[in-house]
Amino acid sequence: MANTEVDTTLFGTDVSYSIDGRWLAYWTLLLRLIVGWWFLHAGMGKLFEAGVQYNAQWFVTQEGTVVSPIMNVFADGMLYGLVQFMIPVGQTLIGLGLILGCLLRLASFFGAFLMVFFTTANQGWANGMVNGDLFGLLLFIALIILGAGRVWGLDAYIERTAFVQNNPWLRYILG
Amino acid sequence: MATTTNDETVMDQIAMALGGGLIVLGVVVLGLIESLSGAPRSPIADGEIASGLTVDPNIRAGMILVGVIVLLVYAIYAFATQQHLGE
Repeated sequence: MANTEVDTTLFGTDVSYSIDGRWLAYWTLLLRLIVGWWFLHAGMGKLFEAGVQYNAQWFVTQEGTVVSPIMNVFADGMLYGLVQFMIPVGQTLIGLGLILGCLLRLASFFGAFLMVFFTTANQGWANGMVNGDLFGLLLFIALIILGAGRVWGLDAYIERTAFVQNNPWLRYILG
Repeated sequence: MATTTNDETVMDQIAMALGGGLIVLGVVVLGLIESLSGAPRSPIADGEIASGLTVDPNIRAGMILVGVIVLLVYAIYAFATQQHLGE
């Protein structure tokens, strides 16, 4: 049953439509959990395999991609150590954040950040440029826009606290 | 239950048009042009850029990258100016 009205403007043109809020909430939750597990699984797998010494040389030394000038800076020294630490730990924390619906927008922002590098550098374009990496990027942005942590997530409770009510900017990283 | 959002600003429109526009241009429009011009299905062959392409796939990847950066800059702007806090 369509019980949720979207009433807005897009480039000055009225956009009004009804959608089923229950299914919207349901699918938002499903997306959040599956994307969350995707990253939690990827992060934990790396942590169990190599701890915080993930071998990212294959990735950061790539040349000829649009993000190579940025990635190559992180190819050695302390900056490479940071990458070795941040990829497994970051993926794990992003996955946890999504599954728990905690700091959802912050977690999804970093998920999108990682996916920008994966989608432009991995070049897994065997079947064209629309691949899992690009969909991952789009999904993280979708979760930010949907405020997916509010569906049975901790953010739904955190946002109701007096602290967040008094600091409404926190909704940019919750939601 | 209604969700009303009527405070669309010029910055919203620029971010949406430029950010999303670049991503759609890089992925969909140029993808269509490649397909219609008979380019191979995969823009990469054996780790190298395939022959017969109209546009270097790295340029298309660059459009996706810049599109996302536009949305990121907009997000920073919205954060700094405390916009759309109710959404």
